[in-house]
Amino acid sequence: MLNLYRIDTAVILYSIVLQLVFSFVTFFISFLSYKIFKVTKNEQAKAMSLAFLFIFISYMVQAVFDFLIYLRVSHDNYVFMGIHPLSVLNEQGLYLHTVFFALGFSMLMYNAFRSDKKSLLWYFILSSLIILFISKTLMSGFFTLASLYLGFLAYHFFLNYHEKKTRASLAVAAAFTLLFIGKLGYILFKPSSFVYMIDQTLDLLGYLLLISNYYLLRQDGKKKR
Amino acid sequence: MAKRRDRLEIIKDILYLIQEKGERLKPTHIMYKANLSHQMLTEYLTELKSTGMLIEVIEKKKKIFRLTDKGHSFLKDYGMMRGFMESYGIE
Repeated sequence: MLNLYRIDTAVILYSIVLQLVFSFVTFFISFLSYKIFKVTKNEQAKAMSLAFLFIFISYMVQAVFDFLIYLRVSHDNYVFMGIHPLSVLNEQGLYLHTVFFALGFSMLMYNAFRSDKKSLLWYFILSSLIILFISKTLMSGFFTLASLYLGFLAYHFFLNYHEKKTRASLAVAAAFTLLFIGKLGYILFKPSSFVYMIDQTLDLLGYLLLISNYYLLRQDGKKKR
Repeated sequence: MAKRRDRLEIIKDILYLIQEKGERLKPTHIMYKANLSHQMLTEYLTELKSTGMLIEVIEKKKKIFRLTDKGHSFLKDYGMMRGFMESYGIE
């Protein structure tokens, strides 16, 4: 079956900018977690640093592939992806993006279980990759997996907020809820530009919440000193 | 029952003690004030020296410890790091 759809250069540009914002936030969280791991030797901090590093790579890959597509189509206003060689490039970018994203979220799931059994981590990684590759389409597998993982993580972070009762833990729980709702949209509704825009906007809000969390923590840290 | 201190808190306690005492503290004082065994203290001091948060100096034939800029920076960031760990449920 031939998938025929039009792609606008403005949409690609919008997507590139957002992927770069998401990359920046996830890299920053990865770096902070690594900094904490270096001092504390805490294995959870190490796993979180790796998880966000994988998520950072997934967004960077997407941004680079989107940029390559943008370069090739910028002389036209749009191309029909299904009948264009660029569709191969687009598919390759999506494959890499979903694999790295699945790796990152598998590690976050492993962290949420607070287990030191590495077999659990491999279980998450392998089952994620199997779901991705046996699904009817890569994207349907990806959205199902992302919704399941993000839903669980949002629940996990709300439990954490219930225990800690800090505004920073609330910000993290709310951020993951926004990311979850964004991905859920693809399962509840037929994928369209509108669903895509809603997902990207919710993702943006979620990642902005995660980065603003850092400033909240710095302020709280100053007060405590 | 008091909660067991984790590594981050123990490091903060050691560095904070040294900062509080005008950055000149003998190892035995650190051991008692930070409530650590001799073995634990030796391990932590070795690590803090290797990570560059502390330096060991000899003053009047006595061994004392001083904070480096990195040590000061750690104390400045401690609240943020603790909050970050809490907000993501890292224990």
